[in-house]
Amino acid sequence: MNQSVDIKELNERIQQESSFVDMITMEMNKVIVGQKHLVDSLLIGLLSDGHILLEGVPGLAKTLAINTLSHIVAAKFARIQFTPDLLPADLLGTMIYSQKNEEFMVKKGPIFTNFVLADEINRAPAKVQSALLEAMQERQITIGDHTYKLEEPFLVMATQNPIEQEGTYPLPEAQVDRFMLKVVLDYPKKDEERMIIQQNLLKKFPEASPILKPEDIIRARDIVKDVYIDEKIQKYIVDIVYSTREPAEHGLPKYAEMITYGASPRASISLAQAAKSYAFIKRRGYVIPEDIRAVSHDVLRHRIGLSYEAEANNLTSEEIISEILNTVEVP
Amino acid sequence: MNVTRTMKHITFVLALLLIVASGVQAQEIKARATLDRDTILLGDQIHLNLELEQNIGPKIQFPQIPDSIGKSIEVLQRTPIDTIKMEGRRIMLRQDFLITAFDSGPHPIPPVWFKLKYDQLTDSVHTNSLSLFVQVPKVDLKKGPADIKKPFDAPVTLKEIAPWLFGGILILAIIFLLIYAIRRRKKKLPLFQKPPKPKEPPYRVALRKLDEIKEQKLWQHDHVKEYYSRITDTLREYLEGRFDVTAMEKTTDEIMVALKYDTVKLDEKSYKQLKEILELADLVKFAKFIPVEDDNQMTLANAYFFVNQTKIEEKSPEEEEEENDEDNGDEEITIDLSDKKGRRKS
Repeated sequence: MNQSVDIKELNERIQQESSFVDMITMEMNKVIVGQKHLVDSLLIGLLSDGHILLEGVPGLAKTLAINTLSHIVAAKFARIQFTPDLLPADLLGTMIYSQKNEEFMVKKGPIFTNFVLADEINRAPAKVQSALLEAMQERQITIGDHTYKLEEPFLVMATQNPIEQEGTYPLPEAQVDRFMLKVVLDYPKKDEERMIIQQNLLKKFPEASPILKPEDIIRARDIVKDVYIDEKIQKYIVDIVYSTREPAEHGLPKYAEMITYGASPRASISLAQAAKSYAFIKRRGYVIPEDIRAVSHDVLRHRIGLSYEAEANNLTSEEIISEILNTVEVP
Repeated sequence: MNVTRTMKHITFVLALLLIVASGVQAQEIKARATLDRDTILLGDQIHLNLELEQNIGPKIQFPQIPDSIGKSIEVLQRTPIDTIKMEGRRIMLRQDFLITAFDSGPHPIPPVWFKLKYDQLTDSVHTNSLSLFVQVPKVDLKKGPADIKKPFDAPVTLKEIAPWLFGGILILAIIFLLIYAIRRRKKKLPLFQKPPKPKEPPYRVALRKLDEIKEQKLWQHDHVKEYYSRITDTLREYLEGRFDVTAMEKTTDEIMVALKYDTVKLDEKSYKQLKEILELADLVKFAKFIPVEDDNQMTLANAYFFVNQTKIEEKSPEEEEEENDEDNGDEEITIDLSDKKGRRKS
């Protein structure tokens, strides 16, 4: 069998460069019991240079996961608890007057880090959310007259509490779209929960070792960019995204009244990028339809607007995505 | 004295002849007028019947009855003169009149005269006279004044209801057609369509498509990707038809899982063969992989083998008909319950 050179070479490169994936997973698993999907999603976000919105009840190791990841990558980590009285300056930084030097000095905010955990992002008012999301998009912050580039890798993991709705400022659709993935966390399994209890009772908390440098992640990102995505796969992505916009024309007339708006072109881009990262994690130099399907729910669930009729029928975006994946022809 | 006697005889003979002649004429022509009944209520309607019975011969001028008889009887309707053939040379002429009267009391109906015309002789004959008595309804004064009764509804005739009936049927037909057209349009189907042809067995479709792929020599003309895409599409369509697995919407892994753990169970060899075909095709389709010539040939051969190995023989309706003609229904049919579809053995 003759394999075309570029894919063969790419596969070999990936085999060499992706060895850290197993190490990260191993180190993460030392600290976090279960939540494999969360770990995979963090890796996808890290490799795709995309941010993650997490939804899950408190106590599901969200903070621990990103803290551990930052420790493994030997990167800086900051956790910001979003509250109603938080101001953009508390997040980004501000100018303070130095009496000693008799001039204004820049006091950088906690966002100047590699990994940010924006805890309960929907508790802060819109102006703070906008400040964070703008920084996420632009990768730079302007304080006074100066613009500061944010350090790479820069990954924001924001959490939303789905239980409490009072006193919250839900993220507008346009802002949610800036998150590459929305990961919904579930409770651990029974065995996993038993293991969590044992660890806590014994007060033996394993610690992850730093095995990577931020530069390794940046290098891996370059390889991920090279992962081959065939035009058939690109067409498959477009078909899926278009099905969320015009379900009736793609064999899903029952959802025509259920969807108010479909996924944006940013969703198509995110789907392709996330699939490439997923292929990299699976040690492949090319994307296959399985990769698209694996990341579709996380990429699309926050990008589909449901109508009142859908809510009245208890229809979720999860069900719609599953139905779309079962309807769109695989190349 | 003799003269007197002779005159008496002549007078007697003439009188006898006259009596006999008038008797014969009276037997030949009979005119009669009859009423349904002789007493009616005010405004009630009855029939007056005129009949003339005679031998065939003289021309008869039937009387022209005006629209009113006397001062009080009105003629509402009249039938044409009806001629009825009777025994021998006798005929009967008959006309019927619907009459009514709105004045109470007795109303005489005078005799009606018929004119008879012989070759050179004209005669006339008349009917009997009749009397119609019109009564006023009895009013019970003790009950006091009563409401005026509404006019009776005339019975509805077919002629009257026919336009409504046909109009209603037409409207119903239009409504039905409109509903039918809207439903067809919603389903994006043409308004009128020929009945679908009987479905071809999946293995036949697959084998035919594989033949087409072979004939087109795609990989020989450097269309390797298309070659593998079409082979896998053919196999996936076959899997849908044969195993009810929605293969067109499934990835390779999902198809293999469905064929291994779901209701369908393939034999080890076929399963392995299909897996090899799909995985190799995925490499070609998505990873720019270029297989060697042997792989190309082997993939198509394996695809044929897989279809033949897993197919269920189904005869087309034409073949079944031919076979029935030959065997005259002596075929033994065995249904294999272990499989999803019936297996036919001859």
